[in-house]
Amino acid sequence: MTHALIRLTGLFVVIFGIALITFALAHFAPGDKAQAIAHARYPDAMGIPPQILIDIRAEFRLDDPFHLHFLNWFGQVLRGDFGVSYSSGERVWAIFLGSLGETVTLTITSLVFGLTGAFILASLAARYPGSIIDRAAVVIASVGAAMPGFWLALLLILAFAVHLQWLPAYGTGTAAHLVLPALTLALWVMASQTRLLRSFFLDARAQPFMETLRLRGHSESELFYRHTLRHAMAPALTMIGLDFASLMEGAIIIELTFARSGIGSLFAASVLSRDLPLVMFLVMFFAVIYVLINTSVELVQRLSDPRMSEGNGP
Amino acid sequence: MPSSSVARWTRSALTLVLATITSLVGTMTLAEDVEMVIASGFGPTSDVPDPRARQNGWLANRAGVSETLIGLGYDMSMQPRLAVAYENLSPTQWKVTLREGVLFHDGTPMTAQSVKASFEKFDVEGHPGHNPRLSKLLGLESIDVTSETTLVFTTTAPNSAFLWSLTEPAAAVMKDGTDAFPLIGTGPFVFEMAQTDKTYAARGFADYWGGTPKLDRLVFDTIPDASVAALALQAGDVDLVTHYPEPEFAKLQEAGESQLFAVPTTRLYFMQARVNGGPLAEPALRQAISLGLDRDTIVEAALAGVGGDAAQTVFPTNMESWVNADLTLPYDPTEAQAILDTAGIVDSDGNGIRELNGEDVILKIRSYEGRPALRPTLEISQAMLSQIGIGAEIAMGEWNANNDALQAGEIDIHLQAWGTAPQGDPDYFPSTLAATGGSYNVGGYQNAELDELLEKGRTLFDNAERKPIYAEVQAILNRDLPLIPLFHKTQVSVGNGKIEGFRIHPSETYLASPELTIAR
Repeated sequence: MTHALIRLTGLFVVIFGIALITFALAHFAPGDKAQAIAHARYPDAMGIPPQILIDIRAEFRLDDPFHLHFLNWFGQVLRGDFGVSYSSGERVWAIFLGSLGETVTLTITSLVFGLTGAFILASLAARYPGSIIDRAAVVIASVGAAMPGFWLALLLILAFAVHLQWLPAYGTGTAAHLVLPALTLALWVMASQTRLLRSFFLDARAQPFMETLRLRGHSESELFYRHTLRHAMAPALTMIGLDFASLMEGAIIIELTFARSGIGSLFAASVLSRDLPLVMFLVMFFAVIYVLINTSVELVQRLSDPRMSEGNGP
Repeated sequence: MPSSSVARWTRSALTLVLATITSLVGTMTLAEDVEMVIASGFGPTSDVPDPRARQNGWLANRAGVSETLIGLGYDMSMQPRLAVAYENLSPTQWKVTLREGVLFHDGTPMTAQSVKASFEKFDVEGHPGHNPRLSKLLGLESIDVTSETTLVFTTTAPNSAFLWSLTEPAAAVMKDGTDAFPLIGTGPFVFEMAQTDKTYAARGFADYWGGTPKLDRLVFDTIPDASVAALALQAGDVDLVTHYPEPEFAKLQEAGESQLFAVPTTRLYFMQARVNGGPLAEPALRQAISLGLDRDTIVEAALAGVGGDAAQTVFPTNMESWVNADLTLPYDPTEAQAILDTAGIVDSDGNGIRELNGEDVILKIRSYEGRPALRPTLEISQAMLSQIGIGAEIAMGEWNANNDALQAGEIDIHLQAWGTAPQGDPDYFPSTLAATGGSYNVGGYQNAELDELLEKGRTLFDNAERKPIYAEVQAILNRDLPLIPLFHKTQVSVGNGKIEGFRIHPSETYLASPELTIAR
């Protein structure tokens, strides 16, 4: 309980730190903020009349000192007000919620399929070390890790949309639109998790207690499902958690490539148009997601591994 | 089975059959629709993007949903659109006569009163059509309705660019939206729906004043990655890609395949030099740089030879109304070296770099991300300058920061890209970047003769009188080179072979027309 409270306090400190750093980066970034806002509002209008810039400075109180500016912004953030987008004039929160569904659908679908594939491949590889299956798993993991996501995406579009014409090349709306982007991200998850799960399984199988259990007459299936899996789950959970957070970031490239309108493409568009309220919100969102997932993984680990909660773990 | 149950089952079965037939008929109707899907690099910024607000007008104008009183022709000259006549009553008064028989998409007629009501929304804060930028550009004091089809616009000060400002896509004539028609314009296509950064769909408007559109439906899908857009065209998911990847376009052109379109736009890639200090205060050095840059090779390397047109002045050759066609910016490295030698800028220590006032001439040149051709242009320019003995340190920065750095004297050149005549008026670009006190004259160029010409150009209202003035402005810019033009971006588009009635507009803000269609 005390540990959870400490973690929770730490969580707030980290989030405050993230907010401060994010705001400071945006505040001290080179260039005139009023120009940045004007450009987000009027993309391609290179010559902004000076009066517009004066109005923008007054509207956003850009001449205020840093601490006042930050406190004003952070106060609004605590009240759940992240401001309005410079580009569209809509509330940042509403824009974010409008895009969240597509990214969550893509991320979870990819994670489920990627993990299923990785689990099957890694368990077969660990069960038959040195076999063709094991070598195939290593090859798949290495190739998958080496191939950039956008490249794989283009290959998949070329194969399934251009040549076979089974699936749409881009866009959202139907389940068919989800297949190629989810497959791209799932292959990435599968590649990274196969390598890790395989080593966790092999490590668990090499534990001395496994030999004892084997001598006691436990079957290989029983050993795998009751002991190997359980032993490997603790480190695997950490990596899966981190992968989930990375997937949210990986979605940026994939959503842009497949012209999907999720959080990823929103992030890219807001950075390119220097839409600072959106950029700051999304940077904070990704950072908070990372921190929350890490904290959750740690809590789950403590719950699943009695040694950690008793404080006498390795 | 009880009779009530039989009746229920019969009703259910009939409903199912009817639903199937209805959906089949619906599908058949949809299948008969002539629909065109266009891949576009940018999309709507909201789900109901009022064309008058922000830069929404660009997309609405391209989609044929909204229209302006005055349009721009393919030679960038003014063309009647919703207005059929316009005359200057006094230095601050403009009489505009509206086209008769124009209907809004909800079936109501466009009148002088509705035009006035639409324009007044620019100043109404909180209204979806609020646009303080355009309001300042127009500088309106009042709008008077003098008859059902005539209005008199009064500006706060004489403004010869007023009519040109009316060609800005944001100066659209719109009616307030309803649930059935969220955006009510007058164009050949009726707004159907939009999804932020994703898609924008419109349906043909049978009562359009310019004739019934041949297309039933027009969809702009946002595909930011040009390579994916090209693949989507091959897959048959889109019919036209407006901004095709240049290297792929060059291959198709060489092979004589596909339906290709290419037209130079007004977007100029140029170097803005710091002329009020540093080495480029020396005019001979600027001249030598211009002569030492092989613009055709830059276009060849940065845009596969198809994405640009070597610039001879700040305006492209197809901007016939204003371009000074007598001007050239030749590539002549021998002449460049001769000019440098004559000016005493020579390599006396034999290190390959010439010296000015005893110091090696190493220019700090910066550009920015966002336009893919900028980085290769920067790198090739560095190599070309070294051929005439000028060193260059190149870096990528951020556009605003680069302007600040140029103004502060931290860098010597800012390589950038601007639309030189977004509203077709020739005053905008030189007044903003080269006139004394121009809002982006951060290089510190000052020329009283140029200022005087621009001032005079703004007070004249006859284009025939204005043309020689802007021809002279271009000549001065080519002589003094505070801005060193490199190339005008060419828009390259590829269709699926069945596109009819499509023509690239140099302003990049026009696309849909009643003639646009897909051959069956």
